[in-house]
Formats: sequence, structure tokens, C-alpha cells
Amino acid sequence: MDLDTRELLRKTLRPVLAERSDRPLSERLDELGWDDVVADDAALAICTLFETKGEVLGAGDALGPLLARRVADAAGMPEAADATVVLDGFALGPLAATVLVPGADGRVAVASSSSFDAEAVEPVDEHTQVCRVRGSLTDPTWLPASVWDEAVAGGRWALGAELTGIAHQVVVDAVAYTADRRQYGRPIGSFQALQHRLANAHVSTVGARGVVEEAARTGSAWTALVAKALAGAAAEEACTHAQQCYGAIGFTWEHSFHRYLRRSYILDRLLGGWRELEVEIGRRLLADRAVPKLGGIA
Amino acid sequence: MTEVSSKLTGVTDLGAGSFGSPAEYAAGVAAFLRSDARMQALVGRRWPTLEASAVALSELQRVLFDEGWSRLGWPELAGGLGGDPRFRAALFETLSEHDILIPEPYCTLEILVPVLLVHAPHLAERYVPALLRGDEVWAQAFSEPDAGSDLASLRTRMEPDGEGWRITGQKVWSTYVHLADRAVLLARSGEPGHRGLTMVLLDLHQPGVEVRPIRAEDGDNHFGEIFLDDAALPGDRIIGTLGQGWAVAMYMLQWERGAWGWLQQGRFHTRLAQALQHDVDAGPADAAAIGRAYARLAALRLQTAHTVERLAREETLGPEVSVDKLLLIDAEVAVWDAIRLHLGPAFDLDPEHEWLRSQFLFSRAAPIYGGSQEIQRGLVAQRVLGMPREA
Repeated sequence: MDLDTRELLRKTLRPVLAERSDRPLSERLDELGWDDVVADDAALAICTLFETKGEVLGAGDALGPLLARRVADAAGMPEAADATVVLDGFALGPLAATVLVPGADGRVAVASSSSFDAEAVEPVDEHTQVCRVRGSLTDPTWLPASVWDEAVAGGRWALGAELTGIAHQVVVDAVAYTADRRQYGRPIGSFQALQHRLANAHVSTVGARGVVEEAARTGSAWTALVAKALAGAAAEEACTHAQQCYGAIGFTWEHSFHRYLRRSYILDRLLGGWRELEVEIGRRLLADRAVPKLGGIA
Repeated sequence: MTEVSSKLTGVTDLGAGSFGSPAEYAAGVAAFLRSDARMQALVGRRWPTLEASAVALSELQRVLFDEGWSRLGWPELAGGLGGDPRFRAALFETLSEHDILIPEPYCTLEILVPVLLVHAPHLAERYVPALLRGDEVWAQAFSEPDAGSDLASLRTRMEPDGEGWRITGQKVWSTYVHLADRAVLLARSGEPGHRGLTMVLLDLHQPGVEVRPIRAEDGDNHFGEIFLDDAALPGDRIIGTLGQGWAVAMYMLQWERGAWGWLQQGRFHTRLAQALQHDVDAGPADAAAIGRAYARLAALRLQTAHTVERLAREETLGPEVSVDKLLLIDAEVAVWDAIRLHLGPAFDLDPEHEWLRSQFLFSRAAPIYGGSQEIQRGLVAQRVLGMPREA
């Protein structure tokens, strides 16, 4: 996918993802002919989808279906594609007939949801639909850890893309605000203190985006781990700096900023927060005593 | 050995066409490094001073040039064998992977030669082969005591003198200048400000030029001062045209900020891997620091790989290349912090780590050298993000 095609895809996706609708995201994407886009270049299509979702704070769970689809593909079990994923006792989206529940040993269970009680909860981000799930697994089919690892890798770079989308949008909006807002007779964006904050956030976002795209292209679980760590940190950095640039107005309910902040909290925690992932990366390097190089010059 | 030698003859005869890709070429370089006794003698070698290291590594430069390997990636005009900058990038990567130190003049070449190829091909043709072979060393002379970040305020003057020019003034922070034969120097030829500047190539071994090394905080003479008192500059030594110095300097910076980052990331991967070979009681802070350093290094590597590819396609890089430099600063500081933390008290106490300590101390200059972190952030804010200029 070249840059122009990607930009076009982004423009097409923006209104679809921004729509506040009860219809599932998958249905809205189908109307776009999403399958054809994915067939052309799955990695960049999904990357662009999640990035754009981050930029417009798109509603609807894209992560759950992505994880389920990857489990289904890796295990050769097509029926798993419609399952609801349950992470740390929370279902991503409404409960379907089947659930996918990762176990402590790295394997993932496919089970009926009939024995589960689901209670809708209001998470920190109002547009993230999750349910608290209680109950025990009945007659689960356990799929090997390699299947869940494969799904997690895909989930991590997709979340990484969404987090860099958030980081990007937050910086763009803060740049616009600081150009308009005047104090001491000049735009506050002309002050070096604010310029350096937003420059830092931009640099971290660009750095993270490169690793996210590499993870999408290669499908490497290791690269996806690094990508999510960088993207989570970039989103936090961008939100911290942007909030400071906004001053009090950014702290109001009316201002859109807190929605990005809230969404970034949810996304960073899913499949490993950036602080935990940094430790995980370090532990693995210490164990292997090797420093693998990602990508290279083509 | 035979196979390598025959391939090598192919390199010298055929140039970059001998290898389908930089990766194939890297494999060829690796085979040479492993099979050549002179190269093997340099693996893991460290020298007590920068000067001793410079002598030993100029020998490395001579061998790599005579055998053809360092000529890939440079045009024939400049003594090269053709091919684009990706070949040079592959050479640096392969040297680092074999723990052979990269000669400092290679770094200078990356910054100074591309600008000569575009803005002064006659000088590239005349001098670059000797530079590439290590027969000559060059320095970059931009900063002055009163012109650091505010480079355009520099005062070193060039005045017409017959067919040529005379240069008077003072330069500082010029890397390797006490070992250098010539300097690429930015001087004022006209009015104050950006428009009155001209880039030139000045001989340092002549009356009216005095060079003094400056000892850096790591104990080595990394850079020095140049005192210029009516130094002679022949008329054909202008890089670009008279008054075009600022544009030429900006062209140079895209290489300094892009290609240099790639070279550095290769070194850092090797250093971090070496630190992990030490048995230490790694606590949670250690794992976090290593993880953070690695993630930043990964971001730097992918970003600079992309930049080297763009340079190879002869795209002109804009202010966005400051992003590379800022990622380099983050990675350089994080990697050396992690190494120091990982090696524990022995890092500061054990003489075994003296060389690493000096590298660590040098890394503290990462946010300063080649355009400070603050200047880069300002460029990103104003020129990339479009924030308003300061009043």
C-alpha cells in the first residue's frame, strides 16, 4: 500500500470510525468493502484502521474481534472468530455464545458462555464496551499457548497503532490550541517550554509508529511487544504534555481532551502496560544475553 | 579464503554490481573480516588513548580501501566503486557486529563528503580518495566561541586576496582537529546573518593556522580549537558558491542527523549485548532500564534505516530529520544508563571497565553535540509541527 492509498483509506475510515452508532464496527466496515482492503495488504490496512480509530476516538471494539479472528486462524477453528474475548475477568464487548479465555499457563480456552454472568460496567472511557464476567469454564477446549501468543502479537501491534493514533491527534490538537491561545500578547505556542513538550511527544510518536508498522509487516511477537511498549509510553507522554499546554480548559468535561486521556488508559493496560512491557523486554534480553536487531535497510 | 578473495577481486573490478543488495555485500564484508588476519587482530581491540586508536584504525581504513570494501557506496568520481549510501551503512553495521571499532574519519566522511559531491565535485575528485583511504584526516569547523547554537552569528572572516582568500578568526569544538590535515569551514564572506556565509575547504598545515586540542570530560582529546590569522585559501576551495554557506551547511546536516544515527545504533546494539554477558544480580530496576534502552534503540534503528533509504533514493530531507537526532539522543543516553546500571559498582570502580566508562561519559554529550537537543526540539516544534516562531 503506497502513501497515497493509505491516506485515502484514512480519509474513508475517519467518518465511519467517528460515527456514534450501536451497529457493530464489523458491520460498518463491511459496507466499505473492508475485506477487499485487507486482502490487498492486511498489515497496513489493520494498522491504518487502528491508528485512525485512535485519532477519532472511534467507538466499538475492534480488538476483541481481531484477537478472536487470529485465534481462529492460528488454531484452524473458524467458529472461534465470533467468540468474545475475556481478559482479566472483563469481556471485550457483549457476550457471544462462545468465549475465549486465556489461562495462566499461556494456553487459551474456547468455551460456551452459558455458565457466565456478565454485568455491564462503566469503565474510565465511556465508549469502551466491557462487561465484568463471573463464572467458571465448563468443558473448555484448551488451545496451545502458541495460538494465544499469535493473537496477542497481533493485538499488541494493533493497540500500538491505536495508541500512536491517539498520541498523534492529541499533539495536533494541542498545536492548534497553542497557536490560537494568546497570553502576554503572543500565542502561547511561541513559548519554548510548550514547543519542547510537544516536540518530545511528536518524536516519541514517530519512533513508536515505525516499530508498530514493522511489527505489523513482520508479524513478529517480539517486535509487537516492543511496539506496544513504545506506543503506550508515547501516548502517555503526549497526553501529559498536551494537558499542560491546555491549562485549565483541558481539565473541563466539555473539552475533548479527557476522552483521549481516558481511552489511552484503557488501551495501554490491555495486553500489558508500557511499564510492565519494558520490564518484560529487559528480562528476556537478560535471559537470552543477546540484543536482537529489528528490521534493517532494504 | 579463496572464495572470499575471488569475490573480492570481483568487487574491485566490478563495483557495487557485484552484490545484488547491501545485505549480500554485508555478508561479503563479514566473510572478509573473519578471514583476514589484519582484521581479526582488531576484533575487540581497545587503545588507551584516542590518538593511539586513530593510528591503528587508519591502518584499518587503508586495508578496507585497498581491498575495495570501503569503496562501495561512494561514486567513482570520489575514488569509490559506485552504489548508494546503503552500502556504507552496511559496512558500519558489519564492523560493529564484529566488535571492530569504526574509525572516526568514517563518521566525518558521512557528513562532509556527500556535500562535496553535490556542491564541489572538483574537490571530491581531488581529495576524497585520500580521505577514504585514511591518508588524510579532515575536520568540520563550524562553531566559534561566540557562535554555538546561534551558528549564523559566526565572525571568522574571509577576505579576497588576489586569486584566493585570507581567513582570520577562531573555531572551536572541532572534532579530531588536532589530527586533521584539512577542515571544512564555515566563514563570513559578506553581510551579517545567514546570507553572508561561505563554506570552504581549508588546509590546516600552513602558517597562520594554530590548532590546540581540548581534553574532554572522558579524558580524551575529542575536539580542539583552531586559531586563524590570515590563513591562505586558494580560490578553488569554495564549496558551493560565495554566500551559499548556510544552504550548504543545512544540506550537510541532513547527513549528520540521518546517517550518523544509523551508525550509532549499530554500535549501541553491540555495547548493550556485551554488557549482558556479565554475570550480575539483575534487579527489577535493571530489567526496566534495559527494556527501555532496547525499545528506544529499536525505534532509532527503524527510523534511521528509513532515513538512509531515503538518502539512497536521493530524496532531500527536510527538518523532519531532527526527529532522528532526537531519537538518537534518547537511545544513546538510555543505552549507556542501562549499561552503567547493569554493571553495578564495578562499572565505576573496576579498571577493567575504563574504556566503557569513557564511552559512558562521552554519551553525556549526546544532547549537546551536532546541534543541541533544545535546538532540535525547536526545529521539530516550528518546522515540523508548525508552531509559531518565538517573538
